[in-house]
Amino acid sequence: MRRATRLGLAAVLIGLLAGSASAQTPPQAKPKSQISGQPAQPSQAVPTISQECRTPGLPRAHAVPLPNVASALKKNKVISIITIGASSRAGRDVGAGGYYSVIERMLEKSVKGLDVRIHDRGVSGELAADAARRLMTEVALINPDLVLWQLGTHDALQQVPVDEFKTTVGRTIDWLREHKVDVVLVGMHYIKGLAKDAQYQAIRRALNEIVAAKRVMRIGRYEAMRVIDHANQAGVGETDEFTLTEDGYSCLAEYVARALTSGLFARNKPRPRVLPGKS
Amino acid sequence: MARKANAVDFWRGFALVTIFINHVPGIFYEQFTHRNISLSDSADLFVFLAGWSLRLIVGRPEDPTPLGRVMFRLGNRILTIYVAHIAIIMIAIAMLASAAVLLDNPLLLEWHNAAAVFYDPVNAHIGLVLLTHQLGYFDILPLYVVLMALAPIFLLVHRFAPNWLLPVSLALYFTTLVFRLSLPTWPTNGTWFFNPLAWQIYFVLGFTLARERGMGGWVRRHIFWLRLAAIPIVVYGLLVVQLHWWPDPTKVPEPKLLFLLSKTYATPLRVIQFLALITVMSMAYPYIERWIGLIPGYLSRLGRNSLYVFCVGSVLSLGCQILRYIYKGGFLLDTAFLLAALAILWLTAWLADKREDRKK
Repeated sequence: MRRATRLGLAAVLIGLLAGSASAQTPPQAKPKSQISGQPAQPSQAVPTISQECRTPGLPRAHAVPLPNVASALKKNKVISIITIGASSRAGRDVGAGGYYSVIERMLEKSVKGLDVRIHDRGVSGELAADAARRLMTEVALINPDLVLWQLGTHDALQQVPVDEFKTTVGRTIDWLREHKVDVVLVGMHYIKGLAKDAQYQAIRRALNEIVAAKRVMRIGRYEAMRVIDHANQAGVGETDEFTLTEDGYSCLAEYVARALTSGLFARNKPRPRVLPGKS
Repeated sequence: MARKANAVDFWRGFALVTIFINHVPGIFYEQFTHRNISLSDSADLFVFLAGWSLRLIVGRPEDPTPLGRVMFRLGNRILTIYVAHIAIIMIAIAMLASAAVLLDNPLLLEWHNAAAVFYDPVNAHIGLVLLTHQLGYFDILPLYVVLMALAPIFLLVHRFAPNWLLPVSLALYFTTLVFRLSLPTWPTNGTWFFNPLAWQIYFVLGFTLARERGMGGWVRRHIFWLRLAAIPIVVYGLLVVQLHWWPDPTKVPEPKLLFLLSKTYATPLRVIQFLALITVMSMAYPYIERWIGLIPGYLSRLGRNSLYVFCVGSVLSLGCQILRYIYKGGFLLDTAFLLAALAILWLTAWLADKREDRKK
């Protein structure tokens, strides 16, 4: 399969499972802003997606609001983000600053005058419990508006008990909310060899349950990568596990940026989320 | 002949074994290491004892080793530690790569902050050599290299103004905490997991307390009362760990790092708890030696060959993680891994002892 096609398929699923309205909205659509009670400028609300990641014609879903980010934006047009749980140096063509700098640039481009400050505290392969422990200190020192947390994959690989994982993540999300910090979770990777792995799937289910119970935004990387794999199995092209993982990272920045933007303009009262790829 | 079992080697051996266990996340025996009841862990003990051992290089106060020879030995030691670190991270990278290929699982390439090595190899390899890129669980030796590089400064202060050494160290420590100084990592964004500017306090405390004069002598003279004062601190540390009896980190006043619990910055509460813990536990060795005869001999052998044992232990812990991923862990498997690892660590130390004996 051509890389652009694979990335396009990834885009479909990541966009859907992020619950990002903007991912399904054509670039010309005009989302209603909740910021300052003023209608958002359409060109400011939706980051432009690169050609190889662009995917037209997606069904509509609802965004999960990010009230603290919206409030920060309203106050001083500065958004402070802590990224944790994975290295920004993973994936193909990382470039200077990694894919987090892409998120920063896209967000700043999408909202006029916005200053995004990303504090990259990612350590690849870090377990949720270790990240959660560091996160509290980092929140105290940085006072962010948003935490972007990649989690689950390595807890599953390292055989972390599911209940322990759920407790850690649930408590941390609650703690962050109590401290007026929004959270976006980036879900697990898809690997064919782990599709039937009991521990891996149990952690994945646990993460889905947390997302549903806590109503947090999730970027559905697993489902996107699975679609690519299924397409490959249908004979469209060849992808090994290594290429598949790199593709999972490649469009991540763009879809995180879109999901964040849609969260900014979502209504504060969350509506039921559409999870078409849920299995 | 290798030196006899003693308290310092024993506790260093203890630190090495518990570091090995703590570096296999999820292993059954992880719940029994002292970090589950203490704010500090084996890393603090390891660095403190590294400072303590520095005393051996400088010699006794009445017969100090010439400065030139001290500096030569320090340089030699820095080079040895650096080469050992580079060797084990290369082995670790090869292990992760092999496991990823053999198991067809690219996610293993991301373990322990290794992603940059595989996804951004040009920059990451420069970073590995410069120590600005470190693998998780393989980050104590870079700290040790920097501390040994700082050691000549500490030793010069100690030689010409011994009473100024601890104040100088404390000044650097508090400046680091107040102004949040740290060493950056590269090519990944971030800072060193063990901030050497803060962790030097353990190194200097170890060196200072090892002296039989000055503060070390004062502590020895008042050890009974110090132990009495230390017990409530140790108990409080236990309550903080078990019941989270510590104020909300966002609510503490500035400078926040003076009040937060941070391993990276070795914040004051952690250091105070560590000092209290070793004050209390320093009375234990004679009893252990008397009642559990084999253990002091075993751990002391590991402790007196600490660099070899640490390196082998680091590689073994990664091996255990990969095997636990393949075989899904479990009590029996974890027990088998631990026993095998303890045997290999002992063999490593025994071979090192034999090599030393042959030299003599």
